[in-house]
Amino acid sequence: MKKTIFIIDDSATVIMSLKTTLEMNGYTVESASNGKMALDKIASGFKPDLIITDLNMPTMNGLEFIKNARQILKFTPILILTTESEQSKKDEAKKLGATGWLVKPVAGTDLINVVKKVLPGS
Amino acid sequence: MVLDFFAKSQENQASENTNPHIEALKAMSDEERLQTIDKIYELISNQIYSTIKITEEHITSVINYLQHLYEENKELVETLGQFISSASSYESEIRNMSEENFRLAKQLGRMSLENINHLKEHQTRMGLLANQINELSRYMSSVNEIAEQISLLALNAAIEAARAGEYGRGFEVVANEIKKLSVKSGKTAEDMGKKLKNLSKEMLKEVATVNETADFLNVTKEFTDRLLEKYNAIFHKFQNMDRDITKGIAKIEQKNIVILNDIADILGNIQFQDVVRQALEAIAQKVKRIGDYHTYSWRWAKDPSLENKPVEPYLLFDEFYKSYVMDQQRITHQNTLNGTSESTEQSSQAPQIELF
Repeated sequence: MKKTIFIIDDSATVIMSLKTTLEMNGYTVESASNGKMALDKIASGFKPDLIITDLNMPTMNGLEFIKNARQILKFTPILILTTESEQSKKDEAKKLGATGWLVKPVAGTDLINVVKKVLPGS
Repeated sequence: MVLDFFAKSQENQASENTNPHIEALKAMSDEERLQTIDKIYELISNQIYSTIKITEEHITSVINYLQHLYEENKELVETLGQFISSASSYESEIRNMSEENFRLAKQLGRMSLENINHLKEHQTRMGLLANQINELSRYMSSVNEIAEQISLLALNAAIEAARAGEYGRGFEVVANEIKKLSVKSGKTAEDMGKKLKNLSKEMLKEVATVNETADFLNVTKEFTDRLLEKYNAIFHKFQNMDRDITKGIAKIEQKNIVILNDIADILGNIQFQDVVRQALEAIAQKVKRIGDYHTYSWRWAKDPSLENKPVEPYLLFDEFYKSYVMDQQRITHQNTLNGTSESTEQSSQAPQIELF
């Protein structure tokens, strides 16, 4: 069965590029343009196998989203894909339960390797 | 107010030997100048946002092209896969038919060989039979000679019987009978000799026919052997074809992976647009911040009683530094303040990917 990956980013081009890359490699992709929309979707019962989220977004940023999402999805891996490189934010994300930190731009093959690592058997 | 400035500039353009902008500036109040500068900041900011929009549109178009390329490549690989599958299926059918033909040809060859062996045995037996007939013919000659000798003996017996007169009468009858028997046996031997001669001729004809059949079977066997050789060559070709098809499939799969990886990497690198967008948005926000600071400072300078004293300009550096999200922004900032040239800027040493 295909694994579902949830992408959260306020950039339409990032969502498009990630969606294409992941679908090419056999994944199903859902997306949201900010943390609030993503959280509403999860609260309504959506259970992705992996979440890839941006950090700096309007309405609700990535860290807030992780904090809230972890109340519902305790074990779903969450990767942060961001331009942010501040160590304090990285530490906070780790503390909130993020699985990994990727700094944009990330080559598609590297992204797929990371996804395969955090989603064994995919 | 700003529009007024541009209107005045337009009016002054009509009069010769005057710089319309300078003339318009001369006619402006300080407030109008301030608003004009504000408008310039807004213009720069809007130009930056407009540039971001252009990059977004173009990058979206590039992604669409890449998606199209991926779909086309997928279709091409599927078509090639179907073609190879059909070719493989035909090849399999032809090979099965050839294998069946090969089995039949082999059987034919075996049968030809068996027939040749049978004929050889037949030839041997016929040879033996011909020898026996020849031997019988020689016996018939002996029988003839014996008959002639008996006849001669009967003649002598008859002469002796005649010489004996009345006493030899009975013996004469016996001698005549013996002579008759010798003539009859000679005739029989002659007839048998003729029949054996005819039999020998027939045998020779049969031998000739058997030899012709053996020649025909040998030719058939040669053709069958050549046919088997051809089939072996065909099977060798089939093996090569199988190997080529397997190699071809592996190469197509390998190239397909390379293409998919290249497309994926390009799509990943396209994220630079988001990096640039965020950097430009940060610049646009700072341009607006400087515009606001400038207006505030100007108003305060004009009448300090109306506004609080603005923060010292150098504090803007700290404010800007705190707002950065990328290492590159921080490096450029530090290099600018330290007077280091752009070429000596160092990229971030932090890992691009880190799993916790």
